[in-house]
Amino acid sequence: MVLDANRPPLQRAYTARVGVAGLTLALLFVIALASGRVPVAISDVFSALSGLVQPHPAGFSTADVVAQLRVPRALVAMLIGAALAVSGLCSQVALRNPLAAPDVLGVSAGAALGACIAILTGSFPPVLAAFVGGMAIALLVDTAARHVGARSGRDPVLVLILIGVSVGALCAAGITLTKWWADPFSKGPTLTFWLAGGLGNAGWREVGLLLVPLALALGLLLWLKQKLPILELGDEVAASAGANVTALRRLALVAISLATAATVAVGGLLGWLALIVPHLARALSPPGVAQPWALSALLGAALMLAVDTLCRSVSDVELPPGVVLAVLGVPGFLWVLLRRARL
Amino acid sequence: MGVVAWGAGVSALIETRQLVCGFGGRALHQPVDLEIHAGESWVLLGANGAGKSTLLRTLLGLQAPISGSVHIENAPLTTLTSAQKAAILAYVPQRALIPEGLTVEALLRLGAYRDAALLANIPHVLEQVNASVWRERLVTELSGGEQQRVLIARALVQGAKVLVLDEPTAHLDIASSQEITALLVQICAAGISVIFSSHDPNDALRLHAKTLAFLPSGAIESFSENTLTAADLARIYSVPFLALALDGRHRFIPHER
Repeated sequence: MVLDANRPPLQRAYTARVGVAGLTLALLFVIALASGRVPVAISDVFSALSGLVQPHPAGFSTADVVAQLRVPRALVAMLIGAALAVSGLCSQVALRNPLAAPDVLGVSAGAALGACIAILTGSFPPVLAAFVGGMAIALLVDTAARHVGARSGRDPVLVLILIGVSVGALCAAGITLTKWWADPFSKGPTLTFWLAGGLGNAGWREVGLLLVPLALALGLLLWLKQKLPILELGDEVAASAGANVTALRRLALVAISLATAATVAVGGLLGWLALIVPHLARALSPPGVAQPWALSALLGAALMLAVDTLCRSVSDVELPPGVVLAVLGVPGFLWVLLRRARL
Repeated sequence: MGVVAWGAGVSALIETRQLVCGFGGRALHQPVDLEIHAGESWVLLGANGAGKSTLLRTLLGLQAPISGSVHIENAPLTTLTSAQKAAILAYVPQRALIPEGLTVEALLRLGAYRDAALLANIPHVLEQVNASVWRERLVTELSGGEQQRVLIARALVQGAKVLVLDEPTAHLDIASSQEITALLVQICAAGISVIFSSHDPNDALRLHAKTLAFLPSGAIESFSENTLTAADLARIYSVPFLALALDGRHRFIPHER
């Protein structure tokens, strides 16, 4: 932790908050396993969890509901939430902009467009297409930004965001086009359903799909985490302090694209979470912690898990998580912002 | 006209060869041959837009020259990595970003980016800029003058041979401005070269520094220590200057036209 900005007293206050967030997440996890259309007693949740380790006798039981449906779905929700939150924080640090998020970089839209084209043509797996789409757009935006930035002498971060937003809009147009093109009786509903986002199909397979890209992104981030704070000084001062600003930012983009494309491939467009969770985490951190990575990850996981549990529990028809996320998240976010503004 | 080379024969820390700086192909000044040696201090004087900041940024490798070249310890600047440059030149820009949510110590730790061993410099540097008491404070909570001292401290942690500052006393009140100038004098005395742009020609006297003067004609002239005259300043600023001796100190004062 050579360049870690935190001193012991500060570190202790922050660690305490991370601990509270971790406990909250564990509690939410148990609640998520118990709630749903088939109610499961808390004691059964624990016996089902131990059954995950030991082989279970054949036959359908509440333990199977927990082990085969709810555990993987909760894991997917937590992984997506944590990945999006950390991607959001990484974008905000790498671009030194509080409004930055994978959406702003065009990565989410690129991944979604890739998946839509795959669903429309049926020629290759949507998950793979989402990766290719997300990474391709990230690469395109970064390359274009470097060329434009170098030629115009304008703030490279601003150029990157401008190009990201415009390319994202272009991808959104592409997505609309695929919907317009799609057969309204077969492919059309699949597209619409997938774009609304949701974890209705999340199982152990989806957990596996998320693990590899997220592990790669996490590895990259753990290395970047100590380097990225130098960008807070601005590109020129960071470069004069010995940082390779272009390489740092590009690696951050790779980590963001990997993580975001994975979440889009599994859960559809839920990107809004990436923007607000880092702000929540910062508001809940002691002053002096500029990059609350762990707290963002835990809060993102907790928020996504809570939202998904509500979505599948409150009515017979699953609600789209994007809607619940907004209804639940926006007032909470505004409350934290206003509270912090007063302090 | 070029600039007379000082201390010719000794290998220069920074050397420019027929260097022309500018933006978008538009040159801001005539070609300049400059040699900056270890331990020397330089003040860049000139009107707004004369090219002082641009020359500093070009020396740092943050911007490509229109023509000519910059050499650092005899190596072309373009062949050096960021980390190699950072070991020789540290930079404090005119409008530094003040990172939010960062304590003074956290800011200083960023100065050790190129080499974690530099973290050991922090306590000494904090004392040097007289900022030890603010170690735990947020940088955003400090006053303008205090922030400038902390930003200079961040650059000092870098352990570079040369400190490059772009108008370090701009936007500061008189007391803070004097504190920063005194700090620069102290940094020079500690053996670090200071190169900075200023709108106060007296800074050249205070630091016993060499002067690089950007003239309205686009020419760049250099003056060795204590050779600057009121007539030279009149040529630089197109305003008459008076040279006074106050309490045994020589100072220049602009005369209203």
